[in-house]
Amino acid sequence: MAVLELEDVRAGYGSGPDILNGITLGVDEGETTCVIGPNGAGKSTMLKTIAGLLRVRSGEIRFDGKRIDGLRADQVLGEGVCFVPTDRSLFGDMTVRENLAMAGYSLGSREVLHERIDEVLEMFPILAERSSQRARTLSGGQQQMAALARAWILRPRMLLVDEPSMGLAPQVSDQVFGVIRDFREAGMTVLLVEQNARKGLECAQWGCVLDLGTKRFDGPADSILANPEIHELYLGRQADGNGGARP
Amino acid sequence: MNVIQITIFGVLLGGVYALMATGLTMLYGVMRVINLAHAAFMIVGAYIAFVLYRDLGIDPLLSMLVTGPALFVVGVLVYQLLFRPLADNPRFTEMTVLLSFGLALAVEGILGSIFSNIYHSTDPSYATGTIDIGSVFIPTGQLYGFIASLVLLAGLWAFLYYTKPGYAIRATMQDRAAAQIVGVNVDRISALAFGIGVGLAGAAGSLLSYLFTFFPGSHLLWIGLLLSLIVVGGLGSLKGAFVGAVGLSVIAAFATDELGPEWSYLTFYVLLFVILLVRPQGLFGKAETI
Repeated sequence: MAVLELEDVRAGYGSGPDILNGITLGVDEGETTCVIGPNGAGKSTMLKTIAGLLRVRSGEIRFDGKRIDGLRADQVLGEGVCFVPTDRSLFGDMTVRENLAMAGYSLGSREVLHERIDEVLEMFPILAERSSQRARTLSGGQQQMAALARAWILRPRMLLVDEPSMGLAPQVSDQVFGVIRDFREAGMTVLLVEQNARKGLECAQWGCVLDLGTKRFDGPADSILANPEIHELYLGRQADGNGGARP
Repeated sequence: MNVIQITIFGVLLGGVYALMATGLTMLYGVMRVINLAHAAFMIVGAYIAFVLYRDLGIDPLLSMLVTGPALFVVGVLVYQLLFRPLADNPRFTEMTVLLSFGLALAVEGILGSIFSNIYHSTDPSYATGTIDIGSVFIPTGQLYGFIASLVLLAGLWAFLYYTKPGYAIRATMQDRAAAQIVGVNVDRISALAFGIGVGLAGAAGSLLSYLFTFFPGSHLLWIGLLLSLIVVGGLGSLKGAFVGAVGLSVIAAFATDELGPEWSYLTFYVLLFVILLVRPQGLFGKAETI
């Protein structure tokens, strides 16, 4: 059953043109859906729009049957949809621990917060080591871990992740994808946008190809990986399997 | 005059400048608003303190308890009525410069029609008193102003570092989008920050009422000075506002002693130029990154 539904959604920045040109998409509960597509296809814009950071110009977004388009970002989070953007959105001048504690802003209970901070510090030993360092001193991979750890503390029903492997060494990005699998195994629904299409699809059950602000194709992730036409158009440059095509 | 004496003057006044500048830099940090009406609200605070002193005999230090909260309410209203409707505009910062300048002129006009354009000030007994310590003396008015400023700034610091809305304000200052992502209602936080910023200006107005003379148009002198302080400190940096205010004030005190009081204002701008040449983002500002 689709827990997140986008219906003919149009959105864009400021008074500029539509970046999303009527996207219709369903994301099934408990699954990981990976969205791929070329630069400028509107992948990140779609996540920002769902997260409430961009206004929907027309169309509807429903989460669990309830309309969430028109809600503010903090209200969307309140519905259980947590966004981890590409820039990881940590607070650079706050320590790692303070960053994790910021999750408490919408969590309410102090005890639950501290319990869960201890839990993620156990899950991510590197964060425990760096817990009193300022977030800006972390490496890219550590920042991504911290951002995902902060999301984990919130136990969202749904996680939106924008290009988690951006700028990371292959080994580090494997770790990050491992964490994203953990989210799904813990029962959370994941909507993942990824430039490294192969790795993204490998960690997903459903795949969706976005181009020029509309959905071109969607289907089971393995069938997209196997589809020669999509391979040619969207995966071709990464056919060596190392995902090293980023300029 | 000896060095210790001049430093005392500079530091005491610098503390008051820091109070005046903090609200301005905080507003910039939270929502990228350069509130050119900030000093006009200070003058409003000074006039309220003046009326309370003249008609009810309320001491200016005590009237901070009135001017602060009163201007807090004004700040929240101004945000809701004037600034919030523009919040989604991509040219928000540029528009608010013009909007707040217009607001400053409107406030000046209203004050002028009520109080006329002559100089005012309050004269509590301590305003001209001194405490003598050996060869140096401490002006009591400035000392009390300094202490009151430090108390307010310490209160603000405690609020920002130990309360939930304080965390939210700091988070919003560092990264507005990131704050939204962790569930901060940045709209409400902006209103709160606007209220606090303007409220601090109001409270500073009480101090201004006896430390300086003022008239409706004097906000124009003040806003220039305050902007130079916060640009030197780094726009949006609270620490920078404090260090910039005290540092520049001390240097200005020395310049006044060497060159005469007519050079005092110029000192701030000369230092502004010099520091921006060396460090364009200000002392504690963050360099723009791509």
